[in-house]
Amino acid sequence: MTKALSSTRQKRVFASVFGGTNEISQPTPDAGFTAPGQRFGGPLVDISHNFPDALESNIRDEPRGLSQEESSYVRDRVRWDRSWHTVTHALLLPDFPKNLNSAVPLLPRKETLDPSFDHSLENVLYPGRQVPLARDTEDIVEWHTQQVRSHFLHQVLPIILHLRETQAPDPLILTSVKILETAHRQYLHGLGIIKERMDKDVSAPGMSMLVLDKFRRDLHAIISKSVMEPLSAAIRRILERQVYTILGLPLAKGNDKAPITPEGPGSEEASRQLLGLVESFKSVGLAGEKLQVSFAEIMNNSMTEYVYRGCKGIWDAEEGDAGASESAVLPRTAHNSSPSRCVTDLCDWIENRYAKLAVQVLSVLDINNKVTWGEKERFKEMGIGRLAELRINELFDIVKNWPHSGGALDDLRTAITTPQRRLHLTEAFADSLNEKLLHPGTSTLQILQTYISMIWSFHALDHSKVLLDRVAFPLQIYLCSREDTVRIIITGLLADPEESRTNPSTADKLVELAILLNSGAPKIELRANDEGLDWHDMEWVPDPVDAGPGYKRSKSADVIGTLIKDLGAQEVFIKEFQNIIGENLLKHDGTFEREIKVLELLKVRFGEAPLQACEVMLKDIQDSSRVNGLIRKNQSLQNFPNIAEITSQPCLNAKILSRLFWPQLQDDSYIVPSEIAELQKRYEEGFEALKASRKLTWLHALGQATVELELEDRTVVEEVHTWQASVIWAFQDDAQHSVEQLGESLEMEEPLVRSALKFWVNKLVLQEVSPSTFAVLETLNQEDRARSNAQAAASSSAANQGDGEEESAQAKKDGIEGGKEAMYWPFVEAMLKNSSSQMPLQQIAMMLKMLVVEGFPYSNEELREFLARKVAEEVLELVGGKYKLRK
Amino acid sequence: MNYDMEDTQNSAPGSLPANQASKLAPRRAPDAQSTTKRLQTELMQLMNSPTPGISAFPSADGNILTWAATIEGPEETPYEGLTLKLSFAFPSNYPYAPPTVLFQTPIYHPNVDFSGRICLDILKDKWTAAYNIQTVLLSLQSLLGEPNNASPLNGEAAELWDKDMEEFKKKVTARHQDIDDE
Repeated sequence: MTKALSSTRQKRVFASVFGGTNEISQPTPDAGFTAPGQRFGGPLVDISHNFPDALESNIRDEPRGLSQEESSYVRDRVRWDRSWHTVTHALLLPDFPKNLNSAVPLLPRKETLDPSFDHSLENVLYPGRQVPLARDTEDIVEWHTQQVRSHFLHQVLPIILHLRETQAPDPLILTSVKILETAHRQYLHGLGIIKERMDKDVSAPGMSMLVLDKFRRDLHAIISKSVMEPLSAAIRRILERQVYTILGLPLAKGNDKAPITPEGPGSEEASRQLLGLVESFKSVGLAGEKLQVSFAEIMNNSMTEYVYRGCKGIWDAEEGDAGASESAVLPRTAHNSSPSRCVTDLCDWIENRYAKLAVQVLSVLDINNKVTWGEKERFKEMGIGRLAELRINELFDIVKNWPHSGGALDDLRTAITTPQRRLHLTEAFADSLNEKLLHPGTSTLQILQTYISMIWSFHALDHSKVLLDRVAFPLQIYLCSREDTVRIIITGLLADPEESRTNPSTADKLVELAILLNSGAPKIELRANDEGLDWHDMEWVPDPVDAGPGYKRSKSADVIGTLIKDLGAQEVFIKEFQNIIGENLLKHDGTFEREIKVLELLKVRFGEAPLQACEVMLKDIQDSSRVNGLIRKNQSLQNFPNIAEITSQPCLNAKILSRLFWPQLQDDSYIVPSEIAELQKRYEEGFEALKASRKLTWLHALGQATVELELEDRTVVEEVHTWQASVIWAFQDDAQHSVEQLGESLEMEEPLVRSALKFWVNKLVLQEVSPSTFAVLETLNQEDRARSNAQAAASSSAANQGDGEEESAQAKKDGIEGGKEAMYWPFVEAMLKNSSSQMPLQQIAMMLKMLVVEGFPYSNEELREFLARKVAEEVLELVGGKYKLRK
Repeated sequence: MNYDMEDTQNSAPGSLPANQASKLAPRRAPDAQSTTKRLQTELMQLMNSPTPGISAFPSADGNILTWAATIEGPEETPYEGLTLKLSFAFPSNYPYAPPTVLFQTPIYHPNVDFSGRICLDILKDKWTAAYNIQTVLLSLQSLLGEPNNASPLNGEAAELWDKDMEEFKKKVTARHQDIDDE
């Protein structure tokens, strides 16, 4: 009671002394400034009398009795100060509320404001008008801005920073936005009061808006400078999630299989959320440049993401999918004669989802810089560019996948419309060619097959062949350095397409060429000359801008032509062709249709003259069947009517070749069986009678013999080389021979003898009774018989020619055996003992090739076989693809 | 003046006659090709007439100037039954300069230090071009049975060899560990 009383009394006392009605302190009344020369603090005293000399001049300028004017200065000053005080006190920001959920009243409330406030505000706002004499006036808006800054930095920012450490991105952003909104409201409320007063002033309309804009700009600058940085990661994550959901992209990284989800309620919901979020960002000042950059980056990534998700590895062309109506979505710059599925999908996606989102968000973000629908064309171009990039990276695999990658090539064709992209494509492809194909690890056949796919693919990509020429050049150079290129091409051309279909073992031939050759007559630059004049060609396009000088267009892919033209000189080609058809002509009988066809093809390409030799060769063969019949008739070598005699007597047919026109034919000299020699002599006489001036020279080794062996329990009929026949003939008189004996009696080189013996051992006709001694296997046991039957079955289906080549007279083809094995084993052993305790096959082969002085002529397969034998002998073991010595 | 040294080097038994060596001297300049050739020839010799207990081969990276070798510990020595691996690094003027030979397998031996360096005269000043990988390996093998305790790299081993063979054997076994190069 007493206490309350005393406090009221106290208050009254204070009030009487300080005269304040409010509880805030009031500035003391200003006594005005002391004039120069006056003393502080005291009443204005004329001091000039005391210091007359010193201040004479001053005093003379200043009229006496200034007190009236002086006091008005003082009054204005005091009024200003008081007004300022009142206003700033009223507008002082309250502490930031801790609890955001309760509605915070905005302070100060308008209705609680002192009536004097309005007047004070006027004084503060227009000091020039209201208190003209007050000096050092300040700008209230400036003050408010300062106050807001420090309030924000000291009270709001710490809360947000604290939140960042404790909360997940989603609630963090939501709470932060709420906090910022609250703070915003508070800050603007204070300013609103000022603005209201300013609006009353009719002398400067619009002034208030300027002030408000400036304040808002300052505030946003403060907020985005301080808050954006700590929140950007979270904002980015949320934006990214929403954008990906809207665009139908899978959120989880690494999950390659996740498809693009179509538009649905989920994406619409996300779209609404995102727009709301962006709106609120904008309202609190977070929608600054940083947010825009983040958004742009996310959009950028999402386009790449779409291209990779939606288009990677999808190379099939789907028929009928890309209708004419849909091609309308393609940008004008694209090559849109036949848009592919991926491109259409991509453009569709950009048009309906991507561009839409971008336009929506950006229109919220920035009013001045509107994104128009016209931008979508640019987006599409970008998207197609990305797709082109992806396809270019995939191009090598696309090419290998030909003809199942038409769609991907369509994509590329749509996309590569600029010289830059064409250049990039060829450069990237040449790089991957170098890396993946042009190294010693790939076989020439593989390279050629890839080359053929390349010709097809690039033709589909670009009819002009300019691109192909650019990438194929290094490939051609490389292929020229391979010795077997031309041979593979020619055997491919000569291959039998029928046979390849039924017999997969011929997969090592380039049968594609044969199929091409047979499928249609090669149209060789038929239209090259008149194409420019064909006015009805609606597909006509001008020459590509990057075509080199001397560019000549050709419409067909012309695989064969390209291969023949580019890979090796004409002479090389013809020589190889001669060799191969020479072999074929000698080995087989028949009409040689394929050979004639290839010859015709080559004649068209190279002209008649260089291929004259081949013509002669073919003619020789055709003639010799006629001459052969004639001689046989004349020399009574004709079949005897008696059947029994046919089987016991050998008969002889010959092919007569013109030596000058045939390639150098290898001949191993040895003695043919006397019966045959006799026949040859008679044949020779017959020939010389027929063609007087010519002489016949026998090439034993090139012949073929049909051998019929009558053993005790079976009869073996084999089509064999003459040297093989000679060797088995030797067993006719004597059932057992050693290798040396045979070599001497036949005058044959030992490797050849061994090879022939091996052949007969394989046929289960001979057996090796002791090392280097062979005997005839007259009767077969059960097991051997089964093998023999199986062999007969196998050999009847497989073409015999394969055997002949395998068993050729070169000893080194027989694998690592005998003495060689003893020679190489120490190497392998020492290598595994010392260099590295376990090695893969390739490394062993490499080391042997490098270190064995006389060279290591065996293939990896032969080495593998050799090592496998050692594994079987239990001196080696193969663990995880590496060989190691068994301990 | 250089020939003096040549002569002392060639005084080792089995070396080239002095006049031949002096003829070779001008060719001393590094000649990578002849070094490679020589090493290839040595490899062929080693492969064609292997010596039991020793073995050598160029290293797995295919560089013929570095070799790996294996010595089986000779019987009736503390190293009996052990397999010791060595590395050879040939200078480009081999065989006119000795190879650098190191034990790769940790070994306790009076003339080998703990990083595998070997004190053997023919690998240093007594080297002649007539030595080869095979002879070096044979010398090393015999060094295992007959260490040169006059100039030890491992003093403790030298002492134990003379005084306490049992302890020496224990140390050998303790120090030895098979290395398996990968």
